[in-house]
Amino acid sequence: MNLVLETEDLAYRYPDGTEALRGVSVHLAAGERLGLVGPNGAGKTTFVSLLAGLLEASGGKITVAGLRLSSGTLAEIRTRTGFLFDDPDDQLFMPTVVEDVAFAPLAAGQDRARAAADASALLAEFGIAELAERFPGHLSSGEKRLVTLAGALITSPRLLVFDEPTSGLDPFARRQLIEHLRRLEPGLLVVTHDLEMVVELCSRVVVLDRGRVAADGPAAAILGDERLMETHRLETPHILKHRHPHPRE
Amino acid sequence: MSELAARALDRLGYSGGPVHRLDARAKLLVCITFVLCVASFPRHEVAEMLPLALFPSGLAALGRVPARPVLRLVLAASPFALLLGAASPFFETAPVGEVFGIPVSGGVLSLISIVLRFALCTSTLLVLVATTPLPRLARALRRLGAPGVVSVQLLLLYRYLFLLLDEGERLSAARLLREPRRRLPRFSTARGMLAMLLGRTLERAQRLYRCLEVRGFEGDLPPLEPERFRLPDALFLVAGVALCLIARLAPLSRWAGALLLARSA
Repeated sequence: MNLVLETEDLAYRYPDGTEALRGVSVHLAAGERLGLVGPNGAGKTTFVSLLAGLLEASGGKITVAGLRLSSGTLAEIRTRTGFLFDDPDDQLFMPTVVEDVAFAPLAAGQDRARAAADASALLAEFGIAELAERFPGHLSSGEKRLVTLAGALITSPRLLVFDEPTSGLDPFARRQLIEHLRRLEPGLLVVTHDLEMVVELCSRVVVLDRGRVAADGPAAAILGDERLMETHRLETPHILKHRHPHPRE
Repeated sequence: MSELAARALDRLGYSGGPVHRLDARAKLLVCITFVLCVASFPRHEVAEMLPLALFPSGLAALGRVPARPVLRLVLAASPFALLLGAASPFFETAPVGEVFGIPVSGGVLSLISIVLRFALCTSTLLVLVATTPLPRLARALRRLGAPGVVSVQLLLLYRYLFLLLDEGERLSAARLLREPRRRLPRFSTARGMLAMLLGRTLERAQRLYRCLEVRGFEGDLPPLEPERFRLPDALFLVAGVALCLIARLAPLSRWAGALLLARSA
């Protein structure tokens, strides 16, 4: 199996001694879409921070697209991975949308004309070409989210890691984002509380609770297990309950 | 209210127009020349500075910048100028001239001069911001030789300033909803709100740094397409600097006064 992400016995302890993650082993195949769910404080964001190399694991190993994470490989791993954090405002720091999308190749010293062409093509693909010269701070939440997605895709990453991608989006923008995510080719790790989205988007789910993997398996089976969900302070998505009749209007 | 005016001016900077399209370096250099000319007048000078008001007004008219937000922001910041010059009337009490037969001391003239200089310079800079997005100004500064770190700091400050204002507004609204009978917060509440705002700012800074790092930031925010200096930019620069120097060196007020007296006679 061609894995784009593999963690083995991953552990992290905060400087005050609190154990955030212990023995977390997760794998993700190329083209697969994996949902990482769990209650607040489960360690999901810590897990993402470890993948991004923002925190240093206290045990275990991380391999991204065939590269073992270390200080020597960090820059290359960040190029091969697209990260999207929960607040797009943190991620959009350039003065115009097109410059923001083109930031990563420009920062890596790529040719300006090519970076501009790639950025414009991505904006057109997402149907937001008209935003190219706008100031990111003036965009709506949905537009900001699409721009951050374009910015993550410009380096043709092999792995995409999204932390709460639908937070703050209205239903239309959320639907639009899900449709775009469906069409993506790279391996996708979605860390979220939006379990309805996980059912729609992901084939597999990992439940993280108190820093440990509590379950790993097919999305419908895991999220449809009401007992498992309750045990880990989660809720079975409505779409999987569907045991009551929906009256027609 | 002044925050709304600031947002309005910021939005105006992104609209299209002949002044907006000019190279930011040309506009910046003309405005710097203007500020230097204003600063170079003697400290009791008032009348000779008045014709310089034509510069921000003209630039605003060309750039279709409404006067109201500019005046509102100048007024909002004017207490600082008043504070600076407030002591002058007490130290310089000797009369240096008369206005309609009333003796005027050097200190009063000095105070009026400070306020006038402040209004001229501030309104010019505000019109500049309303006709040029701040990121273009930051990059113009860099291309004029300012250190790169200044440009990057300005770009990031501009990007996050309004978010910080939003945080402040949310805190203020939350306080008002829980304390509806009090227009202004108690000192202890204000202190807590300020601490909260600082905390949130730090948190935002940490999150921003995290995003900069994962996207490959290495100390620079490179532009996609550097601005080109064209003939209209050069013409604006030469004309702007020439007009500022004429207004500084030629006694325009005296000429205008003499003209008015000659007509009335």
